[in-house]
Amino acid sequence: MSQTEFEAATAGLRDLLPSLIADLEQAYPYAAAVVTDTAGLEVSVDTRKQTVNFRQPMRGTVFTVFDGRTVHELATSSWDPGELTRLAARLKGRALGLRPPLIEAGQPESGHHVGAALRPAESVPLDEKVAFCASTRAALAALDQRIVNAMVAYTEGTERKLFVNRSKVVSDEVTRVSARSIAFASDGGQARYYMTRAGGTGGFELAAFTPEELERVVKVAVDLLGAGKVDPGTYPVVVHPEVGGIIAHEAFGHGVELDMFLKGRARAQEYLGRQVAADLVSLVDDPSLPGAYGSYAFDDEGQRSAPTPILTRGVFLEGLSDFATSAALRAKRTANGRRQDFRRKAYPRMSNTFFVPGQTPVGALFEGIKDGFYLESGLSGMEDPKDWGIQVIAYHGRRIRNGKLTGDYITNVGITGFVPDLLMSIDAVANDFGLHPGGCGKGHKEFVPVSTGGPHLRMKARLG
Amino acid sequence: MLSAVVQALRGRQDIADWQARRTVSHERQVYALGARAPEAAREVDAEYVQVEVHHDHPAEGRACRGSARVTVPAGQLPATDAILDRAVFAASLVNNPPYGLPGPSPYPAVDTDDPVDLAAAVEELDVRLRRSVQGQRDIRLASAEFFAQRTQEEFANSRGTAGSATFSRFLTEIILVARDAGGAERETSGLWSRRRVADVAVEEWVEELSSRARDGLRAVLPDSGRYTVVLSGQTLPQLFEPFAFHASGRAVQMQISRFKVGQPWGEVSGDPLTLYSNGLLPFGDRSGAFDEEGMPSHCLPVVENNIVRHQLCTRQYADWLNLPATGPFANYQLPAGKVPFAELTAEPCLHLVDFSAFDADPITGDFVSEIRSGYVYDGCGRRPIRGGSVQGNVFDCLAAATYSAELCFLGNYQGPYGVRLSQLSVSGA
Repeated sequence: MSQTEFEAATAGLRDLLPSLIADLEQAYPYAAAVVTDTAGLEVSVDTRKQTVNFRQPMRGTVFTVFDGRTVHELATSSWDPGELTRLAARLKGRALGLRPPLIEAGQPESGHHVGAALRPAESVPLDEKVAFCASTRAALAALDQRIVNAMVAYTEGTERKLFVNRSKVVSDEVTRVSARSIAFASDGGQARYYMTRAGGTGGFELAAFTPEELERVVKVAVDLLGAGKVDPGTYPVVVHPEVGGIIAHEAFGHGVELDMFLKGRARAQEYLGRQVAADLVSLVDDPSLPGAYGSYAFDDEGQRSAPTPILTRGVFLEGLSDFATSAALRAKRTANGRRQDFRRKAYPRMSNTFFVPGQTPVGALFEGIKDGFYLESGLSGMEDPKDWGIQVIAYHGRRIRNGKLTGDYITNVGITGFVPDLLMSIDAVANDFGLHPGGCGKGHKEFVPVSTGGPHLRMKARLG
Repeated sequence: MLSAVVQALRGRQDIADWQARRTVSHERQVYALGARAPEAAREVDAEYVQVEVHHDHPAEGRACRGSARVTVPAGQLPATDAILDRAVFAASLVNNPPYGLPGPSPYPAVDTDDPVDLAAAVEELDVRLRRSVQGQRDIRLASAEFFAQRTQEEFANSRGTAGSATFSRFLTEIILVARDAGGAERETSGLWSRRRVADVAVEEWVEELSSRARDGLRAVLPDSGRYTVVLSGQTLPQLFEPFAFHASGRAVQMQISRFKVGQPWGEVSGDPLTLYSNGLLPFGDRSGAFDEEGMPSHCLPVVENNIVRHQLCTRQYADWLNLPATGPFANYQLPAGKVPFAELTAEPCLHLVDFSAFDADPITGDFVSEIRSGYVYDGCGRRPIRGGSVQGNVFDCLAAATYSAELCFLGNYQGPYGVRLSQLSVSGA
């Protein structure tokens, strides 16, 4: 569905929903509705198989009411005005007793926002996208005969939403594009792979790899055939922004999502205004960052996006909220109320979470390290907000000896430890910056698109 | 809704084959907070039809078949033809070798639906949870989430295959916090997916999480080194995910499968491995009368006494690889081992019961995971541990495994309750 179709299809709802919300607020102190439509495309070409699939559209409507204690929602895959009117009436019929005073609904706002793109994905012919995957795959496969399979995948997803409450009728359209190039190498016994990924919010222009990037994918995949494992221990470590970003996300992202405070699950609650990281460490969540994969103009609860300084010079300043947590905790509302899709509730969620760059040239981070590791690619991470443990898995790295990178590869390296210990150990922050697209779950579910990153960092970390 | 879409598909000359699946779901969700009123309560209804169209065309001098998947959302039936146009165009760009779709076949009877009232079920689970937590000393409920869903599916394809099924699903997340006299706190959590209420073992889970949380208050970082490790509980299905990948037609076709039918899966020095893919397991998470392509579900040995018996292929991969069509890997099922679980920990070892996230790489089998909860058995008793990480490779460590005699059911897994693995590397103090 194109933007024009979305606007046409929801034109009637822009008139209907405000009246339904006003009616619901006769019974509840707060009501809102969000109409969503997500659609996308996945193209994949490997050495022996091609696929093109249109993603399952997540098209639906959610009515939200808050009775002062609990958020109640009815959600449906329908946009039919009659069905939505019946749904709102059902919700109103469940109200109990007298309505408490109305709750603040934010600054009045209206309008439609469309993310910028040089080549809007919907305007690019499908055969061009298939051809991009096929030609990139062919280039990748031709680089080394030890590559037994090469795969290039392209995905685009457009998320459209219309949010309505007492003060706002706002809509937003964001297109996320990503592309992956993966090389599978085999020595006849074991198989290894390596991948590079490009992406962000924007258009088809984001799906591009340089010849150097493809050469690196193949080289690393082949080199990893000889990779070893790290000997468990604590080492000086330089982390690439791809790994540092996961540290940012897991260390001081999830633990400051304010539903964790509401549930008594966050150790960070005790550290508001206190030093939790070295004073050269600053960390931000910013959904308004142009072009980043986790960006949006409004969150799923109508809040206009803006950066949140989580850590500034090592001090924990503020967390990430949604409507319900800011109401319950009387905390500042940030633009982090996000849902996986209309079938799930909104939670406080990260967007683009990153360390702020420092002053040190990247090369200088390696100087003085007698025996350590450079962790170059990230795989996954897991939060532990109550106990401030951290798990970050780097897919691969290389040994550093006497200030120089060696050709000794390691793979599947875990960083674990106590979050403040790790963040306090950061003794150099580089002056570069990179963001990496990815997905984020809350615990083991509720997946939303995010990006993570920052500069190269040097720290001491327990590896295993 | 399905019949209207099927009618549209039958009227098209440009579609060589098709399959369509209508899904109608209703879900109740409750988000509980410890001492407060629920944070949220939700009700969700959804309906849509997913369609896969197949288009035959020549390309590069050979016959090709392309496919593409689209969805017709509820309320967009009038746009069906336009949606199918997009699908046909996409399929015409895809140049794969030809393959077929399954024809009609009798479907087995498989238990997948617990016909309870969903609203009453989540309410009862919430009551059971609160009662269980009240019975635990030094424990509070931080939060819990209950999702109860019923899904009805109808399936049809162009070869005359048709079927319908109903699935229920109960997803439960529980987060508990233990507090000691000094005010120190420790959290434990679990997430379980089950198809019937009788398998939602709230009381057992609360007991287990509470015990782990209290033990966590006095847990220490394990010493670095190489250990015999015993794994139990939710981690077990994860151990076999690389087996599922390497046993798939997809891995064979990508030329990266390490398995060959009729040959040993590895050099095994421990208990012999027998691993079934069981799509018929009553109330299994991955059970069903038929698979995504409409093929009847099976229970098949993938590895039997260390010998690889089947590569599991959808009809597409079966045609490409000239292998039997079996459907994808379903639930993991393993026979009981010979050693009582208590004997697995009789020798010095680490018993690791919970991880931050245990994800073995499906291709390489490598894993590294932070230890959330575990115990050191040193011959003089057991001491709780926490933190650090364990590193290994599932193919290496399962080659020297000992399986427990006790069995357990974990939603998508029925097999030994515990497994002992040799010489895994632990990074700790």
